[in-house]
Amino acid sequence: MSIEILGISKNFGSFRALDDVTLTIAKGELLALLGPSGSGKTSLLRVLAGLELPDVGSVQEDGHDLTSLGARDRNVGLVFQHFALFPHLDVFENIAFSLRVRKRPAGEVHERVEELLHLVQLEGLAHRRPAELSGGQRQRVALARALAARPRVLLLDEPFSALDAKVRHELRGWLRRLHEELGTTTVFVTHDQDEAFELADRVAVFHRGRIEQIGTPDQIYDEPKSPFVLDFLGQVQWLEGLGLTTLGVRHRDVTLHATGDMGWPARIVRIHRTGPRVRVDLELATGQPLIAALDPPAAQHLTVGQEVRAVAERKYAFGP
Amino acid sequence: MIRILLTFLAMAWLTLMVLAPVVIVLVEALSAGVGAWWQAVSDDETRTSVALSLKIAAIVVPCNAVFGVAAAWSLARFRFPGRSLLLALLDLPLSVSPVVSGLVFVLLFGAQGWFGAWLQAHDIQIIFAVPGMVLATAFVTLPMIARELLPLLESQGDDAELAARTLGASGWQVFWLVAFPRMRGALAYGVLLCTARALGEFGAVSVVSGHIRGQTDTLPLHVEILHNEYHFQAAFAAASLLLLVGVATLLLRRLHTTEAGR
Ligand SMILES: Nc1ncnc2c1ncn2[C@@H]1O[C@H](COP(=O)(O)OP(=O)(O)OP(=O)(O)O)[C@@H](O)[C@H]1O
Ligand SMILES: [Mg+2]
Repeated sequence: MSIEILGISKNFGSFRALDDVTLTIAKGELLALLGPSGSGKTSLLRVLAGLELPDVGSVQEDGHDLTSLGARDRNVGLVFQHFALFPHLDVFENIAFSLRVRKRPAGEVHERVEELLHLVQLEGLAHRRPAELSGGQRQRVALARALAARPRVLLLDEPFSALDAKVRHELRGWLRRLHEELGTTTVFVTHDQDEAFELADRVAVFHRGRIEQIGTPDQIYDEPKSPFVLDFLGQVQWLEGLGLTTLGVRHRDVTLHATGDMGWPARIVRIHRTGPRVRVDLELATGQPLIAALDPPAAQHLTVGQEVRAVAERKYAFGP
Repeated sequence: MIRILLTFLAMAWLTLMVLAPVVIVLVEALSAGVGAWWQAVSDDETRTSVALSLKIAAIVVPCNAVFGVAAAWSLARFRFPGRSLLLALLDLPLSVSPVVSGLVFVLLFGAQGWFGAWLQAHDIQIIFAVPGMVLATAFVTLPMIARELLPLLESQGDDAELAARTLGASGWQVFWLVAFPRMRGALAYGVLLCTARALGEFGAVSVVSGHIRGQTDTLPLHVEILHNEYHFQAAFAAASLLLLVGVATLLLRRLHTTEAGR
């Protein structure tokens, strides 16, 4: 079951939240929507879930038009950014909700909820209220609730953004395994590129309501199609006046040489350790700053004030 | 220093304006002993007036509760044409003097009113009768429950309800399974306030009641009559009942807030 989004636009007043978005989601794929705040990621999820009607364009599933189908009839599992659990119901009833409204027999409901509690590793917490759970636990309840009615598509809106770094990492791996186990077509929104790259089969980069680029993590990382994509992936320095166009150089693509006449002459301004790498701030002869992120051994003999040659192993130039 | 001064001022003012009257009502009510208080309270006319007040509240409060829930939910959740007009109208009964509200009903349904002739022809009595008093009370207390629910609904947001939709719930199921259970606490408190206000309403009801003794006297109206007839002790005894309603409301409110705080 592939889902096709065809030329969707959505305006809020005069503001264009989605601008002619076209996208095909393959069956069983794990797709990440990556983009800065306000770029339209949530809006697209809401259109996919049937909570929002697009102004133009359609959503199709295997050739069937879903555009005007309401949220209720789409059988799409949506996990909200802040979980949106039902505070007055316990974990069991939260997960059971989609089965209860479908009037499934009690035995079946019980069986399915137990199965899901096991899947999200929350056995024993069935009778807690959401308020009595940790953030990570709430997240998993929300996921189980969304999965209960076996949705055709699972939509996750920044599923981990409300959690601390450690829990976030744990849940990432867990979600990946879960996806492999269930094979549910999944779209998740994030503005964290590490998360997108680690989890997704494909990544769609959003910018101002448009898809700036879509591809596998490797494609996006190695061949960014626009300055925006390169910039959004971070750790990049923009250099002007060295050619006809602006050049983007990733910190990790810069190497430093004490001798020789390759690259650009530069002076070391500052050296400091950032996590696994050493960050070296440089000033080029033209006065422009440049940053090199080196492996510790490569930085061993460098000193502040030293004159070096800076070589960009890879430069990105974008045509006008 | 300023703190002590302001606190003192506030306390002194409260004592003078609130505590003193309460004490006076109780002292006067019991001035001739508990027996006399009981006699005044269980007097036939007092009892009928209490019964009428309760009857009016019993009609008005459920109506306002249904209206309040519907109005608050639709105002908080949907954007529709006329929404801001409805919001403004909702506050009208609270901002208009109750006497004016009462007069409006007289103007509509009174003998000389717009529908007066038609009502008379069909032998329907609204003004100077219970239906008019119900209408006037309903009008005056109309926004109380909606006003109690609106801020709650707005602060809750609609995420949970949208989640319910994506989980396959129909509009009715969203309301009964998600929205309504979450407003129960605030609704109970709104009902409480509305009941207290309905029992105590004087202005609007006074205009439409016609003061027919033993027929259209609510408890507050009865207090006034007793007072006008120089039955001071009896008037204060009846008034102490209204005071009890107020105190009960406050106690239940405390209960409600401590429970919500947990
Ligand atoms: N109901 C609405 N009314 C008006 N504007 C809206 C509405 N919903 C979204 N927008 C606007 O549309 C734009 C895109 O919003 P959207 O929520 O899709 O962004 P996002 O990419 O999910 O951002 P974030 O990462 O902050 O969640 C924003 O500028 C937002 O202000
Ligand atoms: Mg968002």
